[in-house]
Amino acid sequence: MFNLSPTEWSAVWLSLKVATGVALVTAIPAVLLGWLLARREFRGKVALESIIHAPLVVPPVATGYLLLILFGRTGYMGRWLEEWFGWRLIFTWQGAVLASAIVALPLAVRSVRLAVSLVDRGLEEAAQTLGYHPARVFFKITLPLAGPGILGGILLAFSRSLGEFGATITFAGNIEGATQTLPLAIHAALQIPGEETAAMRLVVFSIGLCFLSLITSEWLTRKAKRKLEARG
Amino acid sequence: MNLDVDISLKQGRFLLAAEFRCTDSAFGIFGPSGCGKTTLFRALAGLARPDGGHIILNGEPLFDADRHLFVPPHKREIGLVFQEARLFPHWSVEQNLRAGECLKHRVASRPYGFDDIVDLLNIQHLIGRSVELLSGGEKARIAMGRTLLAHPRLLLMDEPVAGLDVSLKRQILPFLAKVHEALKIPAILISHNLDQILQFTDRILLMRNGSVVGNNRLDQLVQDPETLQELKGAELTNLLKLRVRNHDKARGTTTLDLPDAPAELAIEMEWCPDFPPGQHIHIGVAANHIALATTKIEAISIRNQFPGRVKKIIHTPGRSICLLDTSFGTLFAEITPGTEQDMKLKAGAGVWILFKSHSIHSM
Repeated sequence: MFNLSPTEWSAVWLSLKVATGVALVTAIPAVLLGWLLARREFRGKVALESIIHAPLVVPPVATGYLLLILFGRTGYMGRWLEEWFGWRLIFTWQGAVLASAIVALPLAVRSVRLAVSLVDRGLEEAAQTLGYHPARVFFKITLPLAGPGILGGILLAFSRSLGEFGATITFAGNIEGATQTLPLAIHAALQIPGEETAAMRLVVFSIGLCFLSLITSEWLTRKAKRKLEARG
Repeated sequence: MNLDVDISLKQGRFLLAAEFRCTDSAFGIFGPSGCGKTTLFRALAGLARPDGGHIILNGEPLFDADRHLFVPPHKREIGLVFQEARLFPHWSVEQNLRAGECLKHRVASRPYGFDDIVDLLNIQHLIGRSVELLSGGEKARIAMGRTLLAHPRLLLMDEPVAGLDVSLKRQILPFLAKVHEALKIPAILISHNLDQILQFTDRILLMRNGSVVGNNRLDQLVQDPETLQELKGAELTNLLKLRVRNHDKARGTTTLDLPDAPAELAIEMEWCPDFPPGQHIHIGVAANHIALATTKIEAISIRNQFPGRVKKIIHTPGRSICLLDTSFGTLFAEITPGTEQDMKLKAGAGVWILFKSHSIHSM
C-alpha cells in the first residue's frame, strides 16, 4: 500500500519544497509584523491586524481568486513582474508558495506576536538605558528571548502549507509535477473512479507528514526553550 | 549636577506635576508609595514622555515640549537601576555586565575599568555564573555594576534595596554611598525609607500625590511645619560630620572631636575601630533618642551631655520637634507636648542635651 508511484512521490517532494519556500518567505514578514503588533501603537493598527488575519477566515478559494486577478498574466502585478523580471507566478510552484504563504502568514504572525509580548518589556527598557538603540534592543534582547516562539510560528506556517488546498488550486492550478502538491494529488485521485486506494494511500501519507512536521515544531520549540533556560 | 525639571505627565487618573531644581551632586526622593517617584525617574531616563514642560541636565535640554524635543533613552546617558534587577536571562553574569559597555565612546572616556567595578561591588566570584542562580542581593549588585559600566553622567536608583531582607540591605547600602563617593557620578536615590536616603545624602526632595512638596536639606525641612508634616512616619536623624580623635578599647568607646569646640567637649560612641584617627566620618543621632535636661546630670550612664539653647519648637499633628543651638551646630530633638509643658521649654531656654553612646550610628 505504501509503494508510492513516481507521480505521487513528486507530489510529496513538491509539498515539502513549497512548505520550505513558505517558511523562508514568511519568516521575515512574520517577525516584523508580529513585533509591530505586539510592541507598537499606531493609527490603523486595527485595520492592519484585520488585513493580516483575513486569510484565516476568508475562503482560501477566494484568496486564490484575488491572487489570480492580481498576479494573473493580465493582472496589475502579474504584468509588471513579467515585463520587468520575466517572472510568471501563475501555474508555477513559486505561485503555490505565494498562495500558501498568504494563507499561512497569519498563523506565523500570531505566534510571533504572542512570543514577543511574553518578553518582559522591562528588559528592553533596561537595555535602552544602557545605550542600546532600538534595533540593537530588538536583535540582542527581544529576538533571542522570543526565539523559540518565533521558530514555532514559522514551523506552524510550514505545517499549514502542507495542507493548503483552496488558494493553491485556484491560483497555481493542479499540474502534475509542477504545482500538484499532496492535497491536490488527493483531490485528483478522488476525481478518477477506482482510484480510492491511491487516494487513501496519499491521505495516510499526508496525515503522517503533517504530524511529523508538527511534532518537529513542538520538539524544536522545547529544545530552544530548554537551551534558553539553561543559559539564563 | 545641574538638574532643572518642570514636567507634567498624565497616566490614567494620576497626574505627575513635578517642578524642582537641584545643583547638588546627590539627592534622595522621599514620599509614600504611589506619589510618582518612579514615574519621575522614568521621565528623567526617557522611558516615559511627559505631556508638557522641560527637563534640562547640565544645560542640555533632554525634553522640551515647546520645541518638540525628546532625547530618546539610549542617547541620554542616564543610568537607571530599577527596583527589580532586570538582568538579561539569556546571558551570563559577565555578559550582563558587559552589556553596559556597548557604547565604545562612553567606555573610552570612562575613568574606571571593568575590574574596578567588579572589585567595588565585590562580585568577582559571580562572574562565570548564570543569572538565574543568583540571590536577590547578588542580582542587585550585578544590576548596579551593569549600569555603572555604561558610565552614566547621572545615576538613578529606584529603591535598589526594596525586597531584600535586612542583612542584605546592610550589605548593599554601603555600596551605594561608596559608588557615589568613589566614582563621582551624580546620583538620585528613591526610597520610602528616610534612613536609607540619609546613608547617602541629607539633600531631600519630598513628593506627595505627584507633586514636589519640599526640596532642601533635612535640617531645613524639619524647621518648616509644612515639610515636617510631609515627613510624618519617617525616623528623623541628625547628621554630623566629625573627626575621629581616638579609640579606647578598654572603655569600649571611640571619641570624636567636635568642630570649633573646646577639647573637653567631645562625642563618645561605641568602640568602632574601622575608622583611623584623624578621619572624618558621618554619624547619625536619631531625633527621638535625644533627651533634654535642665541641668547636667553626673550620676547617669549617658556619656554625651552638651549645653545648648532652644531655638524654636515646631508643632505638627502627632509630632513636636525642638530645634537646639549648640556650639557645634543645630540639632533637632523629638519631644512630646507633655515634656514641653513640664520643662517649660520655649525659645531661648537653656537646656542640656543628652544622648547615649549607643544612640550614635555611623552612616
